[in-house]
Amino acid sequence: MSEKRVLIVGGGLGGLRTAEALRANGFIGEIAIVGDEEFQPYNRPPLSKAALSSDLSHEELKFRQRDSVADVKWILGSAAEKLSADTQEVTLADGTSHTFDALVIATGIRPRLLPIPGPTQGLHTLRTLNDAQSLKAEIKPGSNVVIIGSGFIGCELAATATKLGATVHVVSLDAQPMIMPMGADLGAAMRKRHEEKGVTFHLGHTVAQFNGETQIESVTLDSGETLPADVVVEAIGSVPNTEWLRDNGLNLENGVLVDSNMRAVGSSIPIYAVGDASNHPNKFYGDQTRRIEHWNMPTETGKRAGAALAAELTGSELPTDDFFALPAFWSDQYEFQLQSYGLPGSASSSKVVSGELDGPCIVEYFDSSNKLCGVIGIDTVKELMPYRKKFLAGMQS
Amino acid sequence: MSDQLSLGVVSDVPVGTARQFEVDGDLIVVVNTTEGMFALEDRCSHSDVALSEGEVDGCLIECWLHGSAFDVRTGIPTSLPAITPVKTYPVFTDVTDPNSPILITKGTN
Ligand SMILES: Cc1cc2nc3c(=O)[nH]c(=O)nc-3n(C[C@H](O)[C@H](O)[C@H](O)COP(=O)(O)OP(=O)(O)OC[C@H]3O[C@@H](n4cnc5c(N)ncnc54)[C@H](O)[C@@H]3O)c2cc1C
Ligand code: FES
Repeated sequence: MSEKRVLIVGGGLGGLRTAEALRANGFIGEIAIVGDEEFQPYNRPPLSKAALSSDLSHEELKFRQRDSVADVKWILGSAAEKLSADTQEVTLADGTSHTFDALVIATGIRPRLLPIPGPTQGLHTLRTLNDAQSLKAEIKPGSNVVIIGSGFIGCELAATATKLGATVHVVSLDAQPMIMPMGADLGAAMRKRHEEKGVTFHLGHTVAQFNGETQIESVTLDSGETLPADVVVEAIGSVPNTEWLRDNGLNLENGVLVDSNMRAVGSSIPIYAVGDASNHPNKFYGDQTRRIEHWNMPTETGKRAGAALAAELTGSELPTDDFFALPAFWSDQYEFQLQSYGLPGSASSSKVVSGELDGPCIVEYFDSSNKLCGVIGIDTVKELMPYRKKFLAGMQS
Repeated sequence: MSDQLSLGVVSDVPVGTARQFEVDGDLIVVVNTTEGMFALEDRCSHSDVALSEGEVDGCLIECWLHGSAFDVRTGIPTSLPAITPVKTYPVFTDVTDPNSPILITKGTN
């Protein structure tokens, strides 16, 4: 029997964890990982936090790799441009083609861009180490930083840039920062913390125009107000990197739709999707499928995909149990540490159950049937542990 | 002044694993590696979760919550988000003897 070849496209956490899980589940064939970045997988969360305020290199951010994946073939520096499921090959931007017996999609997401007229020099997004390094070179004490978007990345950047001595304005259509994941009350409490550190929010607004010759010098808001700007960062959300998969019968409405084994729905050949790009079912989500952009999900989905794919390639039974993984995110802003379990963003009501919103606190979130669906704590990471246990126990029952 | 405390025996902590012990209300993680037995405060310096629940890889223990790895010999984090070292305690034991008690010295400072 000739050995099978697994091609993983996307050299991030999800791709790495899937490779490890393939090996842990006894797959001994070839694994190749294609990545458009020139780097082997590294940790992204520090990019909006510590990496911007120190001289961090890839060496310091890269994930430790287990011995089991030492023989993975890395094909780095060129993006996958086209999948042909019929011929089981992927063509890269550099013109090379790579055949596979099984494909794992781990291409994650990229920042969404707004069509704002004006110059683009000084305009940034933040997803990769290269993005972080070019941002870092421009954020200096006294520089005027305008952040468009008030989600986690926007808020973390606001905190880091403020710590670096910049003057920071956050422009966002939302009514409160981080309102989607945490609701208006906690969002407002976080806004206060940011304002006390010196950040100015322009909520309910967007940027209508970048002003300047080639370099952005200021931005004009839809209100007509003009803010000086040396650095502008767009952090308004994300787009899954799935264009290269088109015309192969996959459901790409919101990432790649997969079943509870992370196997693409509608594919006759083994195609799996993990991490930020995978739209998967989860016992925790009820009847829905979701795409979740939290750091723990590439590991959870990668483990499941690796186990299922190893079974498929050796002709064994695929797992039939439900996939269950507890979404968890954290965020560090200034000295404040946020931690969440579950899906607070899908709640219809919330209740502060410990502390006060302007200090260390725990907020419980309830769905429309008044069932606990998530929890967020500020500076209460340890106190949140029982919630994690409770959610995990609930999923097992 | 420093006191010596006994935390079980060598066979309680197989090589490549970590185990939590509670002494006088303090949580201590003992990690057994091919380079010997080490003891650290069982508390990630990033946001206060037990390191003993994490994975041991060589001389590193990885925090399960956000992934910082700590060198068990020094307590120094080798990856973000943690930046502050965790406290280490000298260990006295005979790793070749499964019944040897694991003794640690807890300084008074
Ligand atoms: C700045 C920042 C801060 C974050 N902070 C937190 C945090 O505090 N807490 C938290 O829970 N989560 C955080 N996250 C989210 C977390 O990092 C992601 O959920 C995680 O990185 C997703 O992993 P992934 O492997 O699915 O995708 P990625 O890590 O994005 O990996 C995908 C890889 O595929 C590559 N790729 C894309 N298209 C192609 C193509 N066509 N061909 C080849 N390669 C391609 C990409 O360049 C990338 O290298 C943060 C993310 C960012 C960007
Ligand atoms: S709590 Fe350990 S790395 Fe965050």
